[in-house]
Amino acid sequence: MAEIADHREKVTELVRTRWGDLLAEIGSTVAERDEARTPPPPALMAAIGSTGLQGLSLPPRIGGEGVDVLTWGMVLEQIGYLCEDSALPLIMNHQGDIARFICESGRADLIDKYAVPIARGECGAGIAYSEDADAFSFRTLLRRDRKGYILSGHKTYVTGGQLSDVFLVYALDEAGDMLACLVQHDDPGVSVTPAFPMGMRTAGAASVTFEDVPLSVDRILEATDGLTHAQRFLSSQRLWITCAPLGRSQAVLEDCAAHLASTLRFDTPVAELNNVEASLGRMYIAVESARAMLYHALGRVGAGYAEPIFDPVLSAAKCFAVEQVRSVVERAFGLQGGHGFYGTTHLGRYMRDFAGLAIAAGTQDILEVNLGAGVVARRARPSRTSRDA
Amino acid sequence: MFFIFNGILRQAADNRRSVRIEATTLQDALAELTSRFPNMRRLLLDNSGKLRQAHRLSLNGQILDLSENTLTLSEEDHIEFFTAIAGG
Repeated sequence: MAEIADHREKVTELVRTRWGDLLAEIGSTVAERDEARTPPPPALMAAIGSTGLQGLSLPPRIGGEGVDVLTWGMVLEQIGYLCEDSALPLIMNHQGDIARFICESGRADLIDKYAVPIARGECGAGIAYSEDADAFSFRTLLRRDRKGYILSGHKTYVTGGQLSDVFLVYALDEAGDMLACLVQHDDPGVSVTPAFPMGMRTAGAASVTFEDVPLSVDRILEATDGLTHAQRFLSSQRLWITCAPLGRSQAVLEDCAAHLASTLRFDTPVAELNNVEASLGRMYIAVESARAMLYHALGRVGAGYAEPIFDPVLSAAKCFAVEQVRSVVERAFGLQGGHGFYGTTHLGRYMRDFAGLAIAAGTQDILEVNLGAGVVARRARPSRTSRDA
Repeated sequence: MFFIFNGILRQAADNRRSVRIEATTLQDALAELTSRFPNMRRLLLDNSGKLRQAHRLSLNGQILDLSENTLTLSEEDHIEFFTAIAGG
């Protein structure tokens, strides 16, 4: 435990020293950009890459520093703590995992063309998976032609779509199997339309339409069972997605305590009222317990114990951390009364932003169903070992 | 052996929760299953005929390593599918 605390302290110092100013600068314009629904400026996104933050967890082969899973989770937590723009780590994680998956393919052509520039912040990337349909009923199709493939269809929600030079697209082939391919923003027939989400409005979300886009065979990243490829991607996102909000919930708790300490009611600082202290205590419990659960999941993944598609511990950590993070923001809102509603734009924005966590990378309901089904399956049937014994 | 289904696979199995198959290996059992319920083929297998890893399988309550499709089975074995598919 002491080792983890020491490591966290080092990571905190590292992020603050190397990227603190950049993260503060991105966060400083978030209220205006949230209103205007614009992502971080391109120059600052490029700086995320050129200063090594985007590549920190990526393999050295593509210019990254290859930090371990727990360290990256802690880095994300600090990004969330230091940067008021909740969407930044979301964009970064999508881009990072796309670069990582391209790197894992071992395809030198794709690695040099896409993964290396993504790691350097020279190329934006988004995952084009969702289309308001179950995965077996996708209408985005890849059909063979003489030269390669033709892609047609529509993806409804692409995080960072407005920033993306390349999309990781999942489409069905003529036989109904799913393939993963790389499609450039400037490929003929590709059009990007800004989306108007409820939260994470600075994530540059977009829908993307493909009208008979010609693709050469070398753009196919996964030629068969892209469904599994996509589920691995989502499982990875499930791990990252609450790390930064955890850091933000810590900041919300601290800001809330500071505000209440300077607010008087009946000549007494509100923070000293017993019911307020209890509420702050419950927020503290939420932050600490979410952190413990997330670090446990990060450690499990880092040690190679996690199942790649659906890991129960990782999924439980996501479900639990989302609930805790949202409860902290809700409680801060309740404690700060009119100030939370009128006096700051941040709490309302976090409430909207973090509402999206409940549906991202596997909805809470789906994860709970899968977790419960696993419990039921293990309930009574003797394992072969015990039956045979 | 018995296959047990949830969600979309249960639909493909004519809404049957459990199907009994005569087979002694997982490979043979899957071949028989997809022959009996052709709609299940696309859900379970990729273009190369391999079981999609997006499905989790448990054998008598223990999560199975999907590389073991030559696994031998007995009459009383229960294999349950979980379609742990997120997003859409």
